[in-house]
Amino acid sequence: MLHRFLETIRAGDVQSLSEIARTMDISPDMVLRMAQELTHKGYLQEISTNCDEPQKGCPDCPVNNTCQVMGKHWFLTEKGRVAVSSTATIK
Amino acid sequence: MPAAKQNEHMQLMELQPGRKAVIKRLEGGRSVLSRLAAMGFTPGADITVIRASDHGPLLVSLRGSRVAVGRGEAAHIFVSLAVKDKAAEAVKTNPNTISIALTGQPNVGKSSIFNLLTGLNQHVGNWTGKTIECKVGTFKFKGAEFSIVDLPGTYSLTASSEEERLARDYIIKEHPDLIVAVVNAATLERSLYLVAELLLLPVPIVVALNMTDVAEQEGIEVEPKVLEAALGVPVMPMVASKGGGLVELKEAILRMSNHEIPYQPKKPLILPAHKAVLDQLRELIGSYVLPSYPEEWVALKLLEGDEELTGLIKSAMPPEARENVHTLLYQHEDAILDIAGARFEWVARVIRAAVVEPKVTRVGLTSRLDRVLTHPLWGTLTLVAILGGVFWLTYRIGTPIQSWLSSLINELAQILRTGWAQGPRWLVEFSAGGILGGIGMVLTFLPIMVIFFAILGFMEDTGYMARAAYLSDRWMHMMGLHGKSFMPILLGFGCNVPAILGTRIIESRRARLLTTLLIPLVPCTARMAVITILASVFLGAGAFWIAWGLVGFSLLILAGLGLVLHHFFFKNEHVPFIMELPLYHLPNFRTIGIYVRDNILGFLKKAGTTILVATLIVWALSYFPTGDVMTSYLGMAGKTMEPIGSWMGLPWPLLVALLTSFVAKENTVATLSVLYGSLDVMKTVITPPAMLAFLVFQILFIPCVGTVAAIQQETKSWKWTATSVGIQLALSLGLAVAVYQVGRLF
Repeated sequence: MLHRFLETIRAGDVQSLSEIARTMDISPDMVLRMAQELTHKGYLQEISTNCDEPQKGCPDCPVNNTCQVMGKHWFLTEKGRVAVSSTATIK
Repeated sequence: MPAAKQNEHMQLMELQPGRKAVIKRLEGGRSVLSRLAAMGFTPGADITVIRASDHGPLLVSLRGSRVAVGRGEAAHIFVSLAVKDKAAEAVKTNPNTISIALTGQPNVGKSSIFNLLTGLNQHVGNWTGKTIECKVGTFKFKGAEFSIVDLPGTYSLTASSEEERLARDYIIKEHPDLIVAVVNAATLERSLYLVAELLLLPVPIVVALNMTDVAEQEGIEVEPKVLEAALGVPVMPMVASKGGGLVELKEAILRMSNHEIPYQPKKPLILPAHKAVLDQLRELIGSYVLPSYPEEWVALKLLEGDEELTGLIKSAMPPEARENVHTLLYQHEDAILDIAGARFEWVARVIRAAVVEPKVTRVGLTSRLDRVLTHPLWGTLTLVAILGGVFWLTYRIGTPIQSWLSSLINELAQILRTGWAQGPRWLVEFSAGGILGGIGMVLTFLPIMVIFFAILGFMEDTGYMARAAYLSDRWMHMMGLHGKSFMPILLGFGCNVPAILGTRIIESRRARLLTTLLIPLVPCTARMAVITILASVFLGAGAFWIAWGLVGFSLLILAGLGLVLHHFFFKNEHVPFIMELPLYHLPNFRTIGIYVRDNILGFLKKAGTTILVATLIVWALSYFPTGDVMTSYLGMAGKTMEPIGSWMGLPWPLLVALLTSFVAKENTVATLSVLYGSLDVMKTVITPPAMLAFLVFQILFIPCVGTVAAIQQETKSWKWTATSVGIQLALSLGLAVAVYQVGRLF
């Protein structure tokens, strides 16, 4: 299932968790759990856009309280790409 | 030390491998004691025997290191079991006591079940050397005695956190007679991954299906009997918060302990290909696995890449055997995908069998809405319509209020001028033209900003803003902007400063640099606010079309430049990604209120500091030395820019206003108010094509000083900072000239 998940990510450019859930016929909650697992193992990289620490310019920034509007993103890492390519080769 | 207390201590050699203890005292001559102390054996230190044999040294874990200590020396070391073990031992005074470990995720009602089972017979302490709470207790049922330990809440047994490590170590090393796995019926899918891992351990399980009432309220139907059949272990429905299902749980615990219920767990399967590797691995590590650890489980965890166990096993092996294990694991590095993948598949299968989701849920509703709202075509059309709606509402409601406030400010300025006619002229003008005409005029736009931010806050609070970002992601991908460049670019819609700082997530310096060059083209909220204000002044009723079109225009420019940069620099870089979209929900008006308040306070703070200072400087330069703006210092300097202004049909005050926006974008409005007295005057001095050219110039003009400072800070290069400013200046000037010249033709 995780192989399929990685393949589904690679197949699209940008996808939401619910789109992946629809494609794989599972719940978005499970997709989230799989993304976390693969992040832990280094196949995905999780990036959050929140301001971790105040930077120069942040105090005056009109969105300094709302930086998280973009939510969480997971990128396929090099390890993830290699894992998907090897699956494709086996097939 | 009292003799009784001393008697509780045991020699280190008597300590069972795998049990944690604390060094209590050392006995022997001075040289022995010094030698032991030098090795780190001091009273109070935690110690665990890793390996002990009848002959040869003991291998112990001490202060994070593995130390070999001779049996002669070990005889001088006295230890007592660690607090946790003592607590566990204390509750198991009777050898017939059945020990239970209570496991589960956080927030599944584990503590409620623990309290229900033990009542007052519980003891709360900490796990040895940790700040994590450890609760142990006892209870009796139908004559049998049970001891129970409430393990820390965990999502899995991968030892990625201290809690997971403690829970896993307890089950492995203490080997309880039974595990009670608490799961949340309302979020069963989330809870079952842990159950999948627990089933692999050689300890029988009873599942406490808690919060069935919550699941029922949410319309989720969980069939306990079907779940039981799918898992192969007893499943007891419970409502722990009301004490429901307690007797049934106790009954199941008792019957499982007495082996009255057959235990046939249906574990996640392992692919045949990995079965052979697993056997090979078991053979390699067999003699090095610590006695309390199940060999098959350790082998599986090694294949999954469990760092802690890999380190533990490898350190116990001779170099040659270690190399063999390393090679095997390296060859099957991706086995984790199949092993953990099979576990997820198992969870999905169990859920499909035992859970009936309601037809209408927030997840289902979100999913249905997203089919339209995130659709490349329908979603984009909706986004465009919503954006248009935002501007329309802002102008429809805000502009009449702004006009009224503006005339009020003008009247006040007039009253000040006539009522204070005897005062020093410069002071009267300073108050009427500088303060009221500048800052006062900027503040008249507060209603427009309140409406604008209220709508944005509404969109964010309902979860729509994340969809807007998602759609933009898609379009930018289609335009060739691949990879992590999107996120900072999208952040730029709020403010360019965090967007520039956000480029840190891009590893490649070249891609980071190019993203940095694109960000200032993203219209931030301050730019949009200024455009909103000026468009309403210039174009009245048609303002919303223009403001809407300008935002679209600036995005087109961004996309065009992105396309060019991608063509020459980002070629072949393809980084697919996924993003989490929050569930849609009804807006909370308090949250929206806070969003509006924070933004307005931020604006007022800026108005009272940066904008005020800049306005007063502009006023002073436009007043002195003659008291007439045309012959003032600013007038003289401004006239030198007239040739440039003439390309766009713009008189010099508008160019000066643009320059002051470098300090803060909102300064444009304040400066124009000071120089023209009233913004409405502008309509009489410039033509419609020039107005449009000015708006284009404004939206694409160089970013504010905060952004430029951020660019310098991130690129650490004045050359690239100047390049960024240069590109922006050339683009804004070039396009403004083009708009004016084309506009004149009509």
